[in-house]
Amino acid sequence: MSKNVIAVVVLIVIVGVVIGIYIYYTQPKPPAVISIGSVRVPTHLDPVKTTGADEFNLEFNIYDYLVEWEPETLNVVPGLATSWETSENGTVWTFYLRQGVKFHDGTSFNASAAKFNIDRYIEKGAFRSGLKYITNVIVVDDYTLKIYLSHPHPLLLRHLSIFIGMVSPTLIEVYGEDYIDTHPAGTGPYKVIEYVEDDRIVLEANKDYWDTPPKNSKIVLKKYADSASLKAAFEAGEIDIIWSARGDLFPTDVEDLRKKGYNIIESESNMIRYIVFNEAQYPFNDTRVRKAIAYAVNRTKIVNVVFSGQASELYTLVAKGIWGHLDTFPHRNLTEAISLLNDAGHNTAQKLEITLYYSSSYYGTAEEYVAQVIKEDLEETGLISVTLQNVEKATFREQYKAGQYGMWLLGWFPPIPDPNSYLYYFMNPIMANAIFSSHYNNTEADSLLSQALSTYNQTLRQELYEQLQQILAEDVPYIPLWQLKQFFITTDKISGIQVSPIAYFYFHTIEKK
Amino acid sequence: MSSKSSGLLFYIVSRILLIIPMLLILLTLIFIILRVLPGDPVYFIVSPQAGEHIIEQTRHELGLDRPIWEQYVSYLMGVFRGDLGKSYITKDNVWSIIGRHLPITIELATCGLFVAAFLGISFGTFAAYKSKSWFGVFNTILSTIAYTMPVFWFGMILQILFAIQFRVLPATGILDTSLSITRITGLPALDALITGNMRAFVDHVARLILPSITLGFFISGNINRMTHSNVLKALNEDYVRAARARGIKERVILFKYALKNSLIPVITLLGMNFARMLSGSVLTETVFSIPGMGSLLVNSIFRRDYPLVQGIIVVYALLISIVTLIIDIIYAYIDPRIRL
Repeated sequence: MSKNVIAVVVLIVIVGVVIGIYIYYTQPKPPAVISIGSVRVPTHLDPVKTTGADEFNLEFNIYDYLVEWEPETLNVVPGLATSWETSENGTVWTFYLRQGVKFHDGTSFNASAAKFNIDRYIEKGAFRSGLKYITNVIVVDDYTLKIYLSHPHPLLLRHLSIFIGMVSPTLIEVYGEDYIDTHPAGTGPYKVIEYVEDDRIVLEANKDYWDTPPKNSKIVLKKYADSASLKAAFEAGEIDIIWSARGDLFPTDVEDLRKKGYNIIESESNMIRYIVFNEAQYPFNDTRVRKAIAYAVNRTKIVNVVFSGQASELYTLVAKGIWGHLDTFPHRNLTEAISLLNDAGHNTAQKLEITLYYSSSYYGTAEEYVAQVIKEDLEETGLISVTLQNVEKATFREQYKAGQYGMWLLGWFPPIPDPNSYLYYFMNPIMANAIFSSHYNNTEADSLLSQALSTYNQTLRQELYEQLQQILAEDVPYIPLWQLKQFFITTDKISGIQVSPIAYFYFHTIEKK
Repeated sequence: MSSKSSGLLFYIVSRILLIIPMLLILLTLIFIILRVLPGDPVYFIVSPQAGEHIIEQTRHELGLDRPIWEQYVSYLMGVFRGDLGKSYITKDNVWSIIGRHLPITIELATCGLFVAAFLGISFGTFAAYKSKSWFGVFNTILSTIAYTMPVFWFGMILQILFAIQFRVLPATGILDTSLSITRITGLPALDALITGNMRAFVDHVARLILPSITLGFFISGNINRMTHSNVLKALNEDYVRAARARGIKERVILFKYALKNSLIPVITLLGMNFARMLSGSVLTETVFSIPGMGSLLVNSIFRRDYPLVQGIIVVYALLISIVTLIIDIIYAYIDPRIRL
């Protein structure tokens, strides 16, 4: 009898719990919270350590910069500096700073805080090697700052607007450098109130923000293990927005969500994909072979078959949406490819045997399909035999830098929207070798790069970068293939998403009904 | 002290002492394997644009430019002091990282264990009792499916059905994005209860249901088969026949005579599976995006975060040693021959 009573009680409890959970989940969620799902979240939030897009993006939402840029036009606009002027020779810049701004921890922002952050970046910043032209930073008074340069540099404002987020100096002095990795204090529109590594970051609107305050009160950035669980969470109503900036969501998943009637906003992302050649290795030391491969690859097939149209064909290294972009590489032409291969001494009896290296653990499952398409394209010449080699993420970069590969697939996601970011690292002989081991060395190109980096004349810079893109198509040390698109997938409740051509996501404009 | 209890004490002490060389061998192996594997952790830290001098400087800061034996000695000294080092990526203390992830996996494994025990023992027992009926056949198929079905696939099916199609249970994570739990013990359910955060408690428990069923169902196949064969064997024993002859009710024979005597090896198996679930829940954690130890280990291996991988392995080894030690002690207590 007593056992029966226990059984009935247990049954009632179970039924009660199930009903409770059901009622709980049918209740609407508090509208104030906007949850954004992604397959990645930043691993830290200290601007000096930042090299990756995930970190840059979140930092734009929690820090301010001396100068900033409009997301849609990419034009430089005042940030924590309200105005600035340049000396006649272009080597001394004076910034007049905004007054009455406070960091999230209550510290006042002033010229000393700005100097502290610039000096800190020059000493420890991940991209400090590119800022060597800054020779001195002087505090003139509480709200005036002078920056001295070794020579005129057109990227100063860009560097200040992206690399040097203003962190509270007090916070670093009191808690140390590593503390701000997870407990940052900037002056930006959001404060970080919770940071759980590899899981979520919770942001709260900064009510004392000096500029227009955010249109929402809380943002949760939630990480999912893969494309499938991200999609499942969205379909189950657990998140409001999927942000797929760099192919995070598998192309078929995007199509499926589109068919199901969800809102999809798409735009270019500034991430480019390309083939790299090691010019020190046979047969890639022969320009005719590299050119033949450039003629044989079928970008249309890659974009349509692998990405279901969710990417753009790319015929230069400078991404679409960035000024100076000029298509210079040839479209597919098998006859031309065959003719070049014949000139280089290859025929059906003596096929050219090459290996294409790629890493699907680095760039996602779609990479395997891309490699397969390229193999088919090249083998269609009848003169090339391609072996595919998938390499694990952890060893990929180490091996290509060690010069072990002759031809491999790679991606580039520069933080700065300037053609220099797409051309300098690829064409400067020292950089090209240090970063890609491509052994590309063209003194004329190097000289044009230097010219473009020492003038403020925008027209001249544009001409120089166009010439450089022509040279790239002649030398073919790399073959640009495609440019990713970014997707924002939302429910009907979400509005106000501001799209930037360089795939950064500002949260303060989003609204939820 | 009686000879029985002193023998047991000696057995326990010797088993605990054996853990030390076992850990040392394991640590050495992991240390060597990680460094022999191709892949340099520095490339996960520095930017692709970083020059050689930044790469070298980072390598120096991490101590990776020192000879391997020196790194090994300094790591071991740290371990003996209870210091597992700092993560290369997040620079956070390895103990605190594990402290945030381990309780979640313990919760999941415990719930999974209950599901496995409930499904495995109840189905196995009933199938043994009705072995010649359709249920016996059904159970054989069910246990085989549970044993062989890919965990991630089963998890995704549950997700699609209950979270997306019917929307009765949440699909992923351990807590709704609008909620938070104040950390006290690290176990989210317990912390929510202690702080009286019932909304978070209900949400969290609901989020454990599908992953626990996924994990538990997979393990239940084993438990089911063992329970089935043991109960079946017990039902044919002389003492069961004698009980039947005495007119004892079938229900009492099944539960008090047959099942009770069959449970010891099943409980051992459950214990072993608990240890296995602690380290092997990675697929379930991936499907349901649960930030537990499995996903932490996989991520840290991919990033070549040596201190974190080593720390996780040490904690796993300790946990598995403790679980097996408890099982062995129970065994030794029950069967004195083991202590000999």
